[in-house]
Amino acid sequence: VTREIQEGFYGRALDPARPGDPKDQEGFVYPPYIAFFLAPTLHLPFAMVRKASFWVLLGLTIATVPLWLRVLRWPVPGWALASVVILTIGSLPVMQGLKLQQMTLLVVPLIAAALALLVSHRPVAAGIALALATIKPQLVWLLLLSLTIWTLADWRRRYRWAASFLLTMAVLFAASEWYLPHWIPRFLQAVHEYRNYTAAASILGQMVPAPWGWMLWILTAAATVQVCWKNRKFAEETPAFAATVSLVLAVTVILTVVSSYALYNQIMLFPAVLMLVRERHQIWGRNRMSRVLLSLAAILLLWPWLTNIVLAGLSYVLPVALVVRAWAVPFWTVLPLPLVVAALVLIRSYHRPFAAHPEPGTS
Amino acid sequence: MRLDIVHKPLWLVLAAVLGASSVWLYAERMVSYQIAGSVRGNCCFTAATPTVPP
Repeated sequence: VTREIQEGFYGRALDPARPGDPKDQEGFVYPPYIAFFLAPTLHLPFAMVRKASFWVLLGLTIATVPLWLRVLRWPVPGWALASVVILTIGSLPVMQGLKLQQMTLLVVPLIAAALALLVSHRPVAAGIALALATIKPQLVWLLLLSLTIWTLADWRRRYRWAASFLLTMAVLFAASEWYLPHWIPRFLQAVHEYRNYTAAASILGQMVPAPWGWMLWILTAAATVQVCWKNRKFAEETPAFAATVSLVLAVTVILTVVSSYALYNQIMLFPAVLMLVRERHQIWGRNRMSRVLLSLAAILLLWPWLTNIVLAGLSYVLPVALVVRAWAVPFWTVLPLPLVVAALVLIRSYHRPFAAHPEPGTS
Repeated sequence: MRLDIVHKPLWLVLAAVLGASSVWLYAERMVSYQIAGSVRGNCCFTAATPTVPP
């Protein structure tokens, strides 16, 4: 399969004997059950599948906006919803995801749908959607850990999503084993090789040199798990639950090992950013540190749009060959942004006390 | 009816349209310009590269 991908991507299979060949093997690093998603397109013309998948992924991305607002229980007026949708599809991560037709644009809507279903008290459907989202396990591992902590805190009321998740996973694993026997060790081997040939690292690892990067990685993971533990008794419709899953998804972005150009994963910051926008006045009024971080987050978030307006405008006035020299400027903030957003949401989780009665009478 | 020039929602929607369209214009004009410089954009081989090792 890897050879076929290389022939499609590079024009021929890579040759280890050639020192000039690229290091990135473009290997197939997905669980085999992703094939079940793609199977209906197998006999269709590639050009048609390419065009259709662009529109499908665009539609799914647009659909995530009301889903996240539902998770956060934030009803917004139509003009605000329109603005958020426009800014979402006009953001660098979504643009990159659409250009690459990246599976993250399928996985994140599945996560959003799963959480929206969970807060709407449809746990069985939520479990199925979350199981389907494991086609990219690196995007859901921390969410699954946090939901496990949350579920074990009140097993009798919350087991339904976990049961449907485990049942769906069992079906997917069994079907994969039938389709590709002994796939699990082969998948783990492919993941191991991927980390070597792409020099992949977490955003924390890319921003903070070792050994500080690793220490900060462990500290961030521990602090996030501690917040999950602290909020474990809050029901799925409470603000504490929404804040916890938003934190978990933002932290996933900075902890997960990805190749350096995988900007599209930052779509998972979306609920955390929405939450910061909603609570900007409280955060601003807390202390000086919060004001500095909030200002920094706003600058880092707005930077790509501001610089793109300038660059796109200049490309009509000056020769494109000249303007293109500054092509990387909009990307200057893409690594620090997730760190600042995750830090703000983490600090918020420690500062903000939630109601004393976490569980309502029924759910 | 007077047009309200400080109508906040309208300005926010317009700002969103401006920002979003600039990202797509940037992608179409600059990234496409760079990709045009190579055969496949992501890489490195010319069409004449032999498919078997020398």
